[in-house]
Amino acid sequence: MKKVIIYFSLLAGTLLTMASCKKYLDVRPEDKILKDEAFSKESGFMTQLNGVYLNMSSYEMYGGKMHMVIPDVLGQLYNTNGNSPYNNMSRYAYTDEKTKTFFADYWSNAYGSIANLNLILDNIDKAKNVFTNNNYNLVKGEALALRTFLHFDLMRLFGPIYASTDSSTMSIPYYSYRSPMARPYLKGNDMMDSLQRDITLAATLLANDPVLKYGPGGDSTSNFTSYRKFRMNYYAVKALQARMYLYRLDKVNALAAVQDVLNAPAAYFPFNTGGSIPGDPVLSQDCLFMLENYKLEDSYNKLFATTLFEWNILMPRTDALTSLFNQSADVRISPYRWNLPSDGSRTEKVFYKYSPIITSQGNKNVRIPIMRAAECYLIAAEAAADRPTQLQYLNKLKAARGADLIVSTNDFTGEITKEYRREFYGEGQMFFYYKRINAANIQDGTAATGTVIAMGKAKFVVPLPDAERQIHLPNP
Amino acid sequence: MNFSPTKMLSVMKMTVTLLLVTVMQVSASSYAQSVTMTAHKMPLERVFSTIGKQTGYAFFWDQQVVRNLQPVDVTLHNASLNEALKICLANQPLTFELAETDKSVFIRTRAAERRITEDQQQLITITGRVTDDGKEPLAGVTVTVKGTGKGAATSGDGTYSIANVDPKAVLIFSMMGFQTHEMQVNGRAQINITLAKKVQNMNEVMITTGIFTRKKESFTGDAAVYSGEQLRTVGNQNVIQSLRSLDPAFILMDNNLAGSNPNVMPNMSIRGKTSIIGTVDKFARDPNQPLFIIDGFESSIENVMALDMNRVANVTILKDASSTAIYGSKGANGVIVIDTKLPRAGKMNLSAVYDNTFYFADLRDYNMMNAAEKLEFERLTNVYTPKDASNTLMWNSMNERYNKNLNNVLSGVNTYWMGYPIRPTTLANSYSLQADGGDTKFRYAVGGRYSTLPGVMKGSNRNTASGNLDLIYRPGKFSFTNRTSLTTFTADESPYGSFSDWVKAVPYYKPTNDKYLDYGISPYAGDTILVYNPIYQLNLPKMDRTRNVNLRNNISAYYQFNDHLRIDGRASITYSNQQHEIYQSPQMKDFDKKEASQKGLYKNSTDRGLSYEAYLQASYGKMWHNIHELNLVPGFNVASNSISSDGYSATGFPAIDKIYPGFASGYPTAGVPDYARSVNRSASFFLNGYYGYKRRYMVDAIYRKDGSSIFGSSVNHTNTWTLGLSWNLHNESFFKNIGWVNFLKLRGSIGNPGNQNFSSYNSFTTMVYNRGVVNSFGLGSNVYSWGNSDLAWQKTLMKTLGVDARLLDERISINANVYNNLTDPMIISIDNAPSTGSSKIMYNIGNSRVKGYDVAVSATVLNNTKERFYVRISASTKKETTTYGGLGNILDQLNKSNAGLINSNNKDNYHSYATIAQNLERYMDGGHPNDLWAVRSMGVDPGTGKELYLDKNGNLTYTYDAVNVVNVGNSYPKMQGTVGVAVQYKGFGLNTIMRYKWKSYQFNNALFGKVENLTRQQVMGENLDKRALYNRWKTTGDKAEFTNIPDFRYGVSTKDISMSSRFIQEESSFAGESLSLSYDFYANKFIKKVGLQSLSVSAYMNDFFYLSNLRRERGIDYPYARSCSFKVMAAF
Repeated sequence: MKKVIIYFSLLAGTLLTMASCKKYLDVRPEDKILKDEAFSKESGFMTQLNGVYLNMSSYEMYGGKMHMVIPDVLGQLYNTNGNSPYNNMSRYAYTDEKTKTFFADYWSNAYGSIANLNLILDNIDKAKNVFTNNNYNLVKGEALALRTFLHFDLMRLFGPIYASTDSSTMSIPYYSYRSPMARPYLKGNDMMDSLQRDITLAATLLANDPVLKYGPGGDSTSNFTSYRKFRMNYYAVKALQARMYLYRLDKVNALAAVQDVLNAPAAYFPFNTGGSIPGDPVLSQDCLFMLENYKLEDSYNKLFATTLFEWNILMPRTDALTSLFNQSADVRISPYRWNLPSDGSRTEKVFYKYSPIITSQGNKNVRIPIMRAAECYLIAAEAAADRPTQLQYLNKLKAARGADLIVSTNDFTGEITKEYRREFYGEGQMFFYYKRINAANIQDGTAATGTVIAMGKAKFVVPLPDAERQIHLPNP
Repeated sequence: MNFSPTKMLSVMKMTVTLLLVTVMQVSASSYAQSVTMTAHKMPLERVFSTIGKQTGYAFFWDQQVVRNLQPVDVTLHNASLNEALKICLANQPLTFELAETDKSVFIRTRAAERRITEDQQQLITITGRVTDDGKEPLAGVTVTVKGTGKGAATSGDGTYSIANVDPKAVLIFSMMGFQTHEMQVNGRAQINITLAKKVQNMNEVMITTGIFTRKKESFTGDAAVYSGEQLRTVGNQNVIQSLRSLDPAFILMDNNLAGSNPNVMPNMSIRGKTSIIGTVDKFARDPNQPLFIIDGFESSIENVMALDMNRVANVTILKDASSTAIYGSKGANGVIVIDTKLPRAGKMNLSAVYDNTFYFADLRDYNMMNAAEKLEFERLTNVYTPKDASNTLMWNSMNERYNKNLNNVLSGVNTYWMGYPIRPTTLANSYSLQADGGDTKFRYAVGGRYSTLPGVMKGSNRNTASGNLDLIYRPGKFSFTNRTSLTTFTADESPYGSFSDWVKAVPYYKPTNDKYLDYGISPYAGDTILVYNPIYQLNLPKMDRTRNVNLRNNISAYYQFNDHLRIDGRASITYSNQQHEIYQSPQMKDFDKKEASQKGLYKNSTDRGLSYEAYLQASYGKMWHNIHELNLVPGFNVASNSISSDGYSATGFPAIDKIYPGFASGYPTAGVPDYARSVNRSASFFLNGYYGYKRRYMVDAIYRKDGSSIFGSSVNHTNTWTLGLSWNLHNESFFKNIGWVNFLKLRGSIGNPGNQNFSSYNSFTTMVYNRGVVNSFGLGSNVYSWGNSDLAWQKTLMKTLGVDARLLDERISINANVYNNLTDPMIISIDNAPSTGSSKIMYNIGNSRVKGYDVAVSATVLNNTKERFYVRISASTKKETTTYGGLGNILDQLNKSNAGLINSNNKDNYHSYATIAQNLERYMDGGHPNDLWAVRSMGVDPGTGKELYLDKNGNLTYTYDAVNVVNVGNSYPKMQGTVGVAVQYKGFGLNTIMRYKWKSYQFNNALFGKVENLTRQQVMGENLDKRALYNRWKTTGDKAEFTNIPDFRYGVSTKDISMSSRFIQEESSFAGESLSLSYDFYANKFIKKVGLQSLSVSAYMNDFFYLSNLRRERGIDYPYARSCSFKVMAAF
């Protein structure tokens, strides 16, 4: 009898163990979030998407190196001579180890964010039913648009010069989904085709973006649908689309894409007026898309602060600044943006655009302009069919910025170039502009006005990082 | 009425008695001790009073009884009181009792007396002594009274004592290795007996796998058993150190970086490495480390190291598939099963052990320049000469510096910096006290140990304290054991930092207390003089301390249904808490370039672990007609291990003597609190089946199914199986006639134990919240790791063939094994293209095959039991190779980056030992994990002083090119093993074990980094090896070992770094690993007099000599130490 009981309990134990085994072994990590768990509700997708915005706003990405350093140093906006840690970069010495590290970080951070976005895109369609309202379209549309944005910036930096016969040469790999193995390199034009497909789809998904109905403040019924300027909204998508068309020299479509922004209600993206500059030196009002970084002060302290060692400060030559901004009414040369240090430590103007503005709520200068309406006017000016219309768009911007208007010019490209220089200090567009127009010579940031650097493929096309080239074979 | 049998009556009882007696005679006048009287038919009462009067004794009797008795006739002359009473009461039914101190005599009836003595005789106390055939006392023999729970164990001198035993009882004397003896008591109070050794007693050795036990004779696996005694004979430091000397398969890796740092845990392997490039997260273990089992439960290496060696009963090393497969997915690296002593029955046994160990820093391998040599070498390399000789400003400033240094040398400054951080000798103490006792039903043991272990670098310590309480309750068929242990340690890292900094310090500087030894700015950038004073750095407040508490409770119970079936249940729960605190003064050089708010550091991290493990198993064993034998052990196991860790850092400290976290001004820039948690669970089923036929042919099979939370989600179970066969030739009839073979067994096994020592959650994609940042939308998340749900678990197919033999009347014993272990596929973490979003990827690819053999032979040369004279010699050897296969070109990238690790562009790390070691590694098919890769060197050309290389095609060239790298040697010795001699004569014992390593290739760090491949900065700022000055090529025709002295003129670019085979040298070594001398006072009478059961003293020396054909620096960050220990062991 005793034996029977024992055997029975053993058998019962076995069955019980087998049944509860799977549950027992299903251990959820506490300090990490399991993908399946996160994506079982819409907030998981939203948090993951916000993670990418936060990544992008970091010092490693658009809160610093990818926005304020690399494209601007390459675009000769700063005086980086002598012992500057950026000197090799500004000389296009791409074999220098420290410069290589900058580009390798650019590459891996951008692709890292792309992989994070793809995690959303790979899973969102399976989980469509967990979303409420229009949120599925917003999350998917923004994720897709951001993925396009990041791919496109990689393409602008590492890809071929599109405005040349090289547009069909190999560029960079395109990740339409997260793949543990490297995806093949695409030809420049195939890459652009893919990206344009993506951005068109993103625009469709964002057709009901609250920004269209409520303006930049968004639909304040939920946090997620508010503050549309801090997200990749419909207008930003259209601007990006225009940027990409112009890159492919498709002026007609560029001009068409930009119309939505230019015709947006006036209150949406007004230009900053004089009085608003002290509290808003980044001129955020016409921004279509900004990133928020509460620690932006750290970036400022690493790049522009006068407390830095002399040659570590990113600042232009005084003569470059004076020749560029010959009209003091231009809000872009406002003393809240450019000034002599109040402590008298320097005799040339330094860049205060990103310096902290301390209020009772802390630093309120925490916004990083990523895309702005000003660029749309410049795109329209380049894309317009005839000179008068072109000047009309350009003058519209100039007037808004308080600069003298141009009645006529023989060097329209030169004017556009100057306008890019004025508009995008610290916003990482200069090098991309030069590369897009395949400029033969550009002003040397370390030398007197008029001294130019002869450009070319070797300088415009940044080599792929070693780690990618060595593992990801065959190379372009 | 009856009197109480007690000799001494209490006053109370006496009063009562007084009231009962009718006559009382008290005489105070006479003090005569003798009685003289003549009586004829005198009534007894008168006799008593007469004697009472003469002697002054008071008499007590029962009037009613005495009055009815016959009167007596008696003549006494000077008789003693005793005699007098005896004569008087001779024919009476009376007896008496004399109470001398009370001067009383009690008269009782004889009937009452008889009853009392009968009662006493029913239970007697038996004492005796148990000896062996050689009449030597046997300790630890269990003596039980048959059929009762009573029993005792013999003490050190073989004696025992059992009280209250029925005179008709039967005593059973039993001890492992001896024939059990039953003995009728027959009323004897002393029983001495001699136990006979069991015939073929070696076959009774039990193999404990931690899950089941089996006689060695019927075990098909390869397992080695060492008794605690054997371990303690070899050394007194820890189990790991002793096993290394005893077992040829057990290899302790040299850690050239950490030397003899007491806080660095050893690396070891049993049969080769099964994993190569594992990914190890914070909580994961070394993927090549064997599994440790203490008292049936998994344990950490820290606990094994902290275990009191005096408590170890035996250690079993399980090596092949047949023995390790019972541990399934954890067993591939081998299993070390440690059983601690169980409490012994008997009176309380108290044993005390005192150990002390002297450690001596071993700096003999360093060969650094003195002040004069150093300056001379600097002069020869022209570091004080500018390239542009006409630049007088520079010329003068450099000359000035040279003269300043020269002045120091001439004034006799020659600082031996290496001596500063070193304690030439340190004394480690260990105190251990154990008490145990009880009877066969209930036994207990309680003990504790405290030990201090100061390292040879000042300030480095490891103090361990532990306590244990073991209780056993065995009422018949049921048994219950509870064992609790508490271990704590405090580990301090030396504030002196890396020893290499002290080796590098330049001898011509005076040891001052200033921040810099030399400070100045020369007129040209790039030649700033900034020499940090290591002594100044040292005196700054800093700490690196780890405190650990580990509490474990094991419960086990079994029920024995009958001789064949029993059910076991065991559970263990462990709690551990480890705190790691670091603080660093804001004045340390690391903070020189930081702003004030970021100077100084305080770091605190705490790990808390809770783990449990439980087993439920049954064992069935039966033998039919002495022919068929069957054993079955089915069981379940569940285990869970969770660790959580949190920590924070604080910075911005004032420059004061003491740092407390409260003084911090804030957190490091972008600093956030750390938190991590990991939970691993597993549930397993196992079945061990065994069948033996006539004790000749045996089959063993194990099947285990493991489920673990760390397997991939689509592969959450893994199956392990094994099959073992063995053949006992000595039991065959045709072998029975061969007298000189006592035991001969052939065995073979095949199986696939796995390896679970990988990080958790490899199979899931996990995300974490962005650290320390938010925006208007709140938190964000990012992928933390990309999971691979198809990752298959790493399995090793192990094949072993072996033979065990004992010959010539057990005098020679041989154990030999050949093995071939294939791990396929491996799990490898390799670099991935960064565009995929992750820089690493875990892959199932490639295989590694470990092939080898090991042989251990021991022989008893002399065995004279009478004189207690034994001489035994032993030798072991091992040869092993590991090869990779199936890798293809997947690791090319890793190989490429290894090749480029040290180059002249990256001056920061090319003298880093770890970087160089990695630079020498390549992973390719047919390669060995310990292969070293470099460009072949043809030596130094006597004509030019330049090095001649051999390129891939065998052509001579002067140009160094990493393309020409080939495999130039293997750091794993071609052959290694030990030779040992053990001698015992009466109380004296001598035991020595020496280790040889034959033909291994070693990278010589000193030659590479301190003789050649120098830089200008290094020549100016660091001390160098003497050979740089004396043995380098100087003039044409010099047959020098080293290239010409380079020209480091200011402004001239330096030579490139070359990793050639010249720096990789063949080494063969012979080392004295352990020497022990002991004396046992068993024969000395005095120990009894001072109340001891036994006393022994021992002395040990570890690493007492080291002969090698290679002079290379050993112990880069921490020097090696030799040790010498003394031990006193006493039992009460």
